[in-house]
Amino acid sequence: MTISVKLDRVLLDRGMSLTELSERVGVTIANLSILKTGKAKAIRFSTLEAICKELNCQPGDILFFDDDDAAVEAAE
Amino acid sequence: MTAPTADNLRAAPCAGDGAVAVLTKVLRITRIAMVFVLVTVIGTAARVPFFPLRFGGDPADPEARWPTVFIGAAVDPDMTAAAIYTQSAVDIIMIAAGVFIITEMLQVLRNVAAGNAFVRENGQRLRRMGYAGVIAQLSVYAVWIAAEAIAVAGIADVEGLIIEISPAPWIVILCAFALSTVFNDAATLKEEQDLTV
Repeated sequence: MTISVKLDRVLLDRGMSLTELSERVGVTIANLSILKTGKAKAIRFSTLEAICKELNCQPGDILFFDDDDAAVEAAE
Repeated sequence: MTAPTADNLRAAPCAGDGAVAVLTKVLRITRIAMVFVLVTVIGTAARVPFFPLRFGGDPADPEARWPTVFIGAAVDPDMTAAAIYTQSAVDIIMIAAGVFIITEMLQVLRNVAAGNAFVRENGQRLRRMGYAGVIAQLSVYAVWIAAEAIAVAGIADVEGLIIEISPAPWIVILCAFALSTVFNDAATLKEEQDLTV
């Protein structure tokens, strides 16, 4: 997957647990786990907005683009 | 307002739940009846001694046949033994396919009742039902062709054999394949929905 979610690092920086974020954002822990483990296929703007609001960060702080294809092409 | 998710949609009571329950019971009873008829047709064709029932007629004694209650051959008193055997083979193929299709349908209904209507398993089961229909239809055609070939060769007389080629089964088979595709596509959409946070 080329888009990855780095929720752990931001949570660590803010000293917040996944359970606390779940309660504040109103998203179940199961769904946050899906997001954290990279199994999510999409994220709603409303969810992203709520997470950014609670963590006081920008979407770019938690979403990263890994250009795997380019890395593979460069290696070849 | 919470977004509609698979979980809260599943929890909502639906008017179709009762229909699914009734359909499941009807199919279960039908399957039992079909298995019973299948056993009796096989028993009659195989001339099992002291077999209690005779569906489709007794090939050895055409005069002593019982009226057919389901699908069968004993409607024409002029049917020859070879014709009765052929019709029994057709009955066995069709009823066996019917039992298989009903069993698959019951599994689909079980998933639907559990709130998992759009899963890949249901699509696969519908596809299997379609294939069962195709195999059964082609097998029946093969039996008819073989019977006619035997008659043409003068080996046996199949007088009274009813050969009826109808487009209806093929339309149902096409519907099963089309529904299978619909279920597979729906399962893909549901997976994406479930993995959207």
